Amino acid sequence: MKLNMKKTAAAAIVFLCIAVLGLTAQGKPEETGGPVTITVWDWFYGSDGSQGDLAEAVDAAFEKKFPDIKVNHEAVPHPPYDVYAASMAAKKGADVILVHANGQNFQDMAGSLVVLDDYIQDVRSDFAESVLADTAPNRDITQGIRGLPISIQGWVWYYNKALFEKAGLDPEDPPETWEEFLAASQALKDAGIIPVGFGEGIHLEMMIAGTLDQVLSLEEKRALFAGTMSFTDPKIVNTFVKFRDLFARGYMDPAGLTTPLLREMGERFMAGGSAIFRGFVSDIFNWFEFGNALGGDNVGVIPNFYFEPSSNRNVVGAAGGAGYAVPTYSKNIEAAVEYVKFAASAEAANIMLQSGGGMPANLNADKSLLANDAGREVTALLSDSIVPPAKAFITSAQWNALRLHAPLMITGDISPEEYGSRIDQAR
Amino acid sequence: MISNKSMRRSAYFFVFPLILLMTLFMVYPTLSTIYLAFTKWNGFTDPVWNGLHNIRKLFADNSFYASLKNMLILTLYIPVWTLLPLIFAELIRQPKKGDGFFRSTILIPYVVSPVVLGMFFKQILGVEGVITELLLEYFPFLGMVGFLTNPDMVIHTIAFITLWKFFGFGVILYYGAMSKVSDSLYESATLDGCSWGQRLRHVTVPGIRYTIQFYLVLGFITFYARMFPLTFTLTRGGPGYSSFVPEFGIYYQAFNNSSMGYASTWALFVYIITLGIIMFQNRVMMKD
Repeated sequence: MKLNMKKTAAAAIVFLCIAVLGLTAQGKPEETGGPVTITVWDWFYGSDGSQGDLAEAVDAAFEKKFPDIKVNHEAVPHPPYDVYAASMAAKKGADVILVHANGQNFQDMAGSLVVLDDYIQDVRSDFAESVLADTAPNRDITQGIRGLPISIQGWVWYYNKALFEKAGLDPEDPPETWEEFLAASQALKDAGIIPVGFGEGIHLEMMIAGTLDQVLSLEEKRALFAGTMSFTDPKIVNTFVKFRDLFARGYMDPAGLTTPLLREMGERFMAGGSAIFRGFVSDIFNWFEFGNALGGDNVGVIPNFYFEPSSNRNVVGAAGGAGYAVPTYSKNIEAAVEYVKFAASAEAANIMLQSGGGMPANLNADKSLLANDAGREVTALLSDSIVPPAKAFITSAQWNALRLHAPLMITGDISPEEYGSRIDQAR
Repeated sequence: MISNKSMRRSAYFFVFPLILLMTLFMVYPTLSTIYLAFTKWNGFTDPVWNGLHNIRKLFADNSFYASLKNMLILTLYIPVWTLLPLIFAELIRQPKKGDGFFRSTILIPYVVSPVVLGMFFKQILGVEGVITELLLEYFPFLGMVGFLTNPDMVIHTIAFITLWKFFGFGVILYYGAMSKVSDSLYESATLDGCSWGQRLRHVTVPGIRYTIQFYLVLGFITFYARMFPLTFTLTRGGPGYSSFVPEFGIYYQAFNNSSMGYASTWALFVYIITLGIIMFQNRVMMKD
């Protein structure tokens, strides 16, 4: 009996030791010599369509140029920030991570990212300073650049020219004022066409915030960020009223209320299910994808419908879009920075233009490679009419409140003032 | 002969790995959450102690009160959760034709992932969903039924789906427990002139009392701490805060708002509230 106990105890100790070793063991042995392998985390990678192709094409071009660096590209879910937070807490993970270069989550983790200023001296002039500033803590470029954007991101209204024509509208003379927009929507509705497609989960807030890009001046956006301007300000509430009115008139696809994903409603627009859609200038549901689906010359672009004659016309809120950054825990910082620089270079940007990934942040990209008219229109807008987007001045909590309560506001369950007040409260 | 001291030492030795694992994976995270509840932490940088700020914020947070209200509404469904499967189990207790088929199919919703269920119900209860359109077609006076869009209805929709998912499990659980109640008790009750309802009340319920208690506790746990997958896939807490449940609130603060410290405050309070309710429930049961 005593012997059995001893044997059992010894077996238990061995089991415990194996378990502890298993828990603490490293996944891979440290590499000694040979090419450096960097791991890149990217939510586009492996996805269907242009963005997935882009990542693979950029990797291939990078490995050709830097034969001593191998890229291990891995997909992460979108949004990826919980994965990134865990990796930063563990000080272990990818050497390069894809981020939303103007996003609040990116701002939150700025302290855990390598300051790139010294590494990018040779390419710094390839980017607009305002775009680089988006990647610095508090958007103050003197606090250090933490990532290089590969694209410019913003929202414009796309419209289906064939459906405009079917409704008796001139496809080459799209509405510009809000009143013209309402008149065009009525004509589309009369022709049995759903005027405006939208999704409630990740889309409606983009439509509203995109309009605020144009409605608010830069000073007002700053005041919004500082908390000295309220979302119940008449100027903002008036914007909310416009969207509620749009829904009440039956111009917005009611299916959007229970269609959570931008993807589903974007695909509906691409299938001719609605005539007007708020889409991106980069990444997905942009001029390239819409052009492929509806025909290159069948997609029109409207920057914003302006409310008052005095309002800014043709204004597009845009800033640095997706970009790459290097966590400070990386053991391959030099190689990782090379990848970041290459992914944002003109060479990679040209690959992006051809594969349709978006509007490059690199100023030296060859814009003649743009695939269709809508792309050229967007490029012209980005050259002439870019303003900082309101989204960049809204905290994460406010942004989420803007999204969460938007369906209630447009259906009239809460007033526009109450909607504004709920966004204020989330601050 | 092994001495008591040696036995005790061996016992401690064998229990030690379990204590170690519990400390590592239960005690440490709990203590850590309590600490984080009093910090400002976005998940990336080091937590910064901010005293009672998060608690003040919590008590001024409409989404927290909305989630508690929704939790209370879900609690109102507990009697249905408990009794409906019991009545059905009693109905199928007596062998009838087709019982086998009924018993095997009734469990299907329970084994389906809540994420799949959420996506499925989103399709059929959405604005363009089959059920919504059928109602509009055959009962036009109802207008568009906003199962997922009407802020007063959406939490009830979620409760019904949860009841539907677990119904089969409850029936099978009760049915299994009933098979251990002696048939002679039912025969005696029948001979004494008991109705179906009286047999249920005076024979079945006392006979499977502990199973009912277990299922009741499971109901509380489900409605308080297992609603996330369904809420996330079906409504993402919306519209507004109308389907915000505490579990979703924790996720929302942590991963949407990058407020890990404040999310920990939520978690701490939800833990305290749930613990209080479970302790109260146990006390009532112990008295019985």
